[in-house]
Amino acid sequence: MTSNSILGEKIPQVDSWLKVTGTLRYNFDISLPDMLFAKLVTSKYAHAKIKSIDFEDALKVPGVVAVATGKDFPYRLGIYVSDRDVLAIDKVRWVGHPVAAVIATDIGAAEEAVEKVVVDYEPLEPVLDIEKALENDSPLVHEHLGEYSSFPGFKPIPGTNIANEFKLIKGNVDEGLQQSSLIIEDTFKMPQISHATMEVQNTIGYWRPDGTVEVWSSVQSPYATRFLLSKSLGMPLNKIVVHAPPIGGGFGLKAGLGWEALVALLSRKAGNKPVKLTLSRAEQMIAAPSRDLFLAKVKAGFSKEGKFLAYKAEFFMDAGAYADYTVNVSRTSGYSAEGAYEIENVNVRSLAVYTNKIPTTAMRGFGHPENHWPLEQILDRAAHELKMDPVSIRRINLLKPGKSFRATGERVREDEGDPEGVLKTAAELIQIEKVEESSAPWLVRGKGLSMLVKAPSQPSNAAASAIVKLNEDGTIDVITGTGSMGQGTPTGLAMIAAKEFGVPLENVKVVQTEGVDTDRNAYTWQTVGSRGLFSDGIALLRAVDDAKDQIRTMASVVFKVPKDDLEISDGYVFSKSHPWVKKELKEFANGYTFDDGTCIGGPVIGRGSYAPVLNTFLDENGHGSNTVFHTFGATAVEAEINLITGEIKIIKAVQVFDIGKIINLMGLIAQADGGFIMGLGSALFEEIKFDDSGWVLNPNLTHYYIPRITDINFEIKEKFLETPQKDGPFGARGIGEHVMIGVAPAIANAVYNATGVKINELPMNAENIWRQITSQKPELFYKAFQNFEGSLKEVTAK
Amino acid sequence: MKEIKLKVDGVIMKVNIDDNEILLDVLRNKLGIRSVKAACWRGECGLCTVLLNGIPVKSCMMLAIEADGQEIITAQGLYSDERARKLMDSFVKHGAMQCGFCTPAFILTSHYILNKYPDADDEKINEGLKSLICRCGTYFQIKEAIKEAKKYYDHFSKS
Amino acid sequence: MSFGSAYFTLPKFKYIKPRSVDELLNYLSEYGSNAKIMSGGVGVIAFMKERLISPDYIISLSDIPELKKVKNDGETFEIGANVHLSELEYELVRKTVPTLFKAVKNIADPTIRNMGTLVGDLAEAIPWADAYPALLSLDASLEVMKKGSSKKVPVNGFVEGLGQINLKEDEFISKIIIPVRKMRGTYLKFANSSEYGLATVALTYLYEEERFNLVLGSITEKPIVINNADVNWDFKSDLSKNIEKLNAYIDSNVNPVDDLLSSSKFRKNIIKYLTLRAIKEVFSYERN
Repeated sequence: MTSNSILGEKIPQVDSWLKVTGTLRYNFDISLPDMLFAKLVTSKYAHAKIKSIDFEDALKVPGVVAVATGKDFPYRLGIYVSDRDVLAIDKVRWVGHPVAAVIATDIGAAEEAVEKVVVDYEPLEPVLDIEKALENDSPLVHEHLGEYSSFPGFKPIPGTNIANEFKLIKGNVDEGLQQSSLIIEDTFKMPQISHATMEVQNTIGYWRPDGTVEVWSSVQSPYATRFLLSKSLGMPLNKIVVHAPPIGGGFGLKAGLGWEALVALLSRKAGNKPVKLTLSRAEQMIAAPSRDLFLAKVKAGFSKEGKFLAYKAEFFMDAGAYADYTVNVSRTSGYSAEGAYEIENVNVRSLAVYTNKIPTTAMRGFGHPENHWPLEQILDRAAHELKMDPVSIRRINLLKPGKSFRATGERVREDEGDPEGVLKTAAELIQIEKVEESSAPWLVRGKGLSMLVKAPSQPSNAAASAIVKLNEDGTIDVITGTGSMGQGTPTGLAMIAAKEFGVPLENVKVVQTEGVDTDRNAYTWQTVGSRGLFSDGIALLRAVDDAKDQIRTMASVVFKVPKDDLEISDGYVFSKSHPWVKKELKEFANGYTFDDGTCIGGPVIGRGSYAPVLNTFLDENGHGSNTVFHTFGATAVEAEINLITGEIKIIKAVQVFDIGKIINLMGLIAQADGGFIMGLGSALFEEIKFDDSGWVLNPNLTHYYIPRITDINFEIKEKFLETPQKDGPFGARGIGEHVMIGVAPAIANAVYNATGVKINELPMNAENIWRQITSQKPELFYKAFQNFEGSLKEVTAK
Repeated sequence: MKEIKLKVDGVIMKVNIDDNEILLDVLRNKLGIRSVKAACWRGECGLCTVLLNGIPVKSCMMLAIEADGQEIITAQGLYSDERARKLMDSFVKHGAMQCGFCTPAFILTSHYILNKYPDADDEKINEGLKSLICRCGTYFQIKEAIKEAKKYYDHFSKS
Repeated sequence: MSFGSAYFTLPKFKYIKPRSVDELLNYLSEYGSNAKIMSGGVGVIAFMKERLISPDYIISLSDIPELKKVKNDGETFEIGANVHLSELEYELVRKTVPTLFKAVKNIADPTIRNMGTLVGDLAEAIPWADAYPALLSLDASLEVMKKGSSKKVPVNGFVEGLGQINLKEDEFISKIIIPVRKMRGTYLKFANSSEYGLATVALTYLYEEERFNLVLGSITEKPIVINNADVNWDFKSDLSKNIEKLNAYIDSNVNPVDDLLSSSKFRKNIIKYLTLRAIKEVFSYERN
């Protein structure tokens, strides 16, 4: 009896029909009886003392229940560093910093009332530039850094604006640079960008009269949220319930702790009624976190043969006003700075720095879009200088599974994947050697490639668990803790369970597809870091084994055969040696009942758990072993650059990843394509713009431009290698973030290879590219313009 | 407060509103129609799209009172339209959604495009869906889904 | 000007829906300074959400049939104040007033065009908007009405600056009037990290009259109108010589602004590029 594997097929997400009809219930759609509405009063200054807050008139607006200010809530929040306040206390740290909240019976009243809250500020000198923030005489964003609690491995430096400093040291970088025959030195930059999830952050808090805090929130990681709420409010975990309905886009924004503490406290303040806070798009882009601004000063040394001998890098991450999560983004960009390469000497210093700008948090890729931006361009520049091609210089430096060690000292697993195969496949698919003709003489075509690698950045004990229940009719319920935000993990888990029991996919329900609930779901650390299918998948397989063992125990008695002769597939348990001895699984669902009415066993409930093995903290040199899997990938593009306007048009894109084992091909392709498009947005368009006093100039989706369908006029090819990882579920690895890491450097390399123009800063919008062309290679621009004018000659007026 | 009458997904509904109420809010909060989403509240993202007398509009930029006496169709309502259900099926089969938050708006707008141009080419599809944002970047799959569904609209329009 | 709205709701106002132009004019004369006219509503609602305006009265045009008319009698092409932009997206418009047709295609997105109107786009007076440059290139006029009178004024001069229009509180624009002539035209828009264009070009060429209007939009607070006489364009001579003159004129007379969308220098580059593209498109018509 063999079971056809569903794995590797193209399976629509299990909640597809709810999505196409708009009936999937997001947190955005939830209202509770007696629910009140909150609205924020936000700071007009980047840095100022709060002298007084007068809300007398606000309280007079009909419908207003209460107004809360920072003094009402003396708590500190944060995941890795508890540097956040609930509402500003004593001073504001960015334009948009919530200073007060109005609670009212309807949103209109709340909106009317916020205009009547008068805050008297005493402006302080703001810190708006990351380099100035590091100067000795810079004003301090946080005067009391030393008092903040932090997670092991993170240390804010009191008396400075440094939220964390991380160092990665391997060999002797100065010697390595001295031995190098080519040195590339440059400064690279990326702006702050918005996750711009379509579902804005929105949260309901309900401080119940029995002292339980219940929260409904658009969050990725309900267990982490519950833990952080408990820590911040000093409440026991079993007095907190976090409900996390399906999410309309997360991308890291909704990891950790969001607005839950505020709304819970507002609920208490408003007579223990549920309070909902829904951010407007402008509030989402001003008052809520974004991705860090990144500045990298790097020096890379290569031998004549192209061997990467030394990499000295300083990374500065502008964390904005709060770095609770960004300290780890900064640390992660530091320890993974070498990317997919083995570099003999490495010295990386990675700082998270406070400024008076929007706070920052995790975002898809978590430090890797940042550190790959300089690294992958350096390789193309070195290749050019050494008269090598972009593929060979990468090939000779790639990490070698089973042989290499990372700069952290961590072994590169033998089964970690096939980086060389990934590189080769991407190069072939984009035909990297082939020069393409442009369609007009003022346009040029170029191709660029970027390797990439990433592991989940998580604590050494980031655990997961799963429960599997067999129902009376043979259907299966799967319960884990990974949320549903479009990444497709619930569907992947359903496929795994279906395969393992040999039942049709529709016989499996993954309970959290329609929401995770900390009272009812199994624990998983967070839905982040591309870890869901890997961690929950392992836990699920263990739960399945446990459930099967329970069934086999009963069947052994029923069949009178040894337990190890029993196997389960196609919805049956049967004897391997006497395959005609078999029964349907459903007969064992609530224990087995014999013909005479006697019963053995009981309901089948499998449990499985997972925690990383042999993971450690990193020491003061960044050494240790802190990953569970790495996924290698490569992104390649063919682009056409308009030398007059600086416009970049993508002609073709290639996404290649070694994902170990394809679970759901449809979900995989969706990630590869969607991640490319999101990467394209951050590469070409996206930038939160600030004025001189720290105001955001484009808190909307008109001037903060996100790719639309009209921008997607190119061909995309995806290819997946399957080098199984022994401890992954069926050998699988994660993919969710990797898909956007290589996009920007691949495009920059295409521009460089086509024009010789170096692109150090994002976004690569038309004006920025034009500025680089005209300053680095003005002759290209003038010649292009002449050619363009020349093209008019044939035109005759009639 | 004034009473207005809306026909929403085939059902005539009466609702009391203030002059300054936005159609989106009345649909979601007063009539409980949650398949109509919103993400920008200023006409940019298109997630609040509904069909007003068959034509897509962004309900966040319209007064409810201006819709008095008119017919509104939402994605949930389209489920009972045979062609639209084929379109939805095509979205499902092509994986033309990730988080799904924008999907109802894409369904409604695609349905309108295919009704108007059963043989819509890439350019028509692109131009027509320019009104919407999918942050997950599911555009390739959406295009494929619509192309696949064209045949149903063509078939129905001829019969 | 603010670019993002923190608010979901609108300030309170009284909604008035006149059934005729006369009724409308009565309301206007009565409430004028405290009233805003809503045609499509897109702009008015956006401004109210941002609390840039907070009128006591909103006067809707939605129930006045004569404002929904598009008329083409061969002499003039007239667009009523409550004609939705998408109602201008058809072949006859492309043939009659091609510059306008192409400009309309560039306004916002197709769904917004089902709601918004041309008069609305014009009256918002946003320097990056598309209607005004196109209408300038077409020598359009506006019919401006108030209680007891009606006048026809050239569109040129209507927008005085950001959010500033040349219209009194008791007046409203009932229609846009474009003279119908034999013309070719185009409208080009260059956007960069924004939905709005950082530079736009409207070019209308009246080939029988040997005359053209080139309008450079989005680069200054008000569009810049350049006609053939301004640059001593010689229709008999070689195109490249004419282009030289035009480029020289732009070099010395056009000074784009720096703003959120672009730097002055980049705008200047793009406006020249768009201008040449427009000329290529419009003047090489016969070859296509």
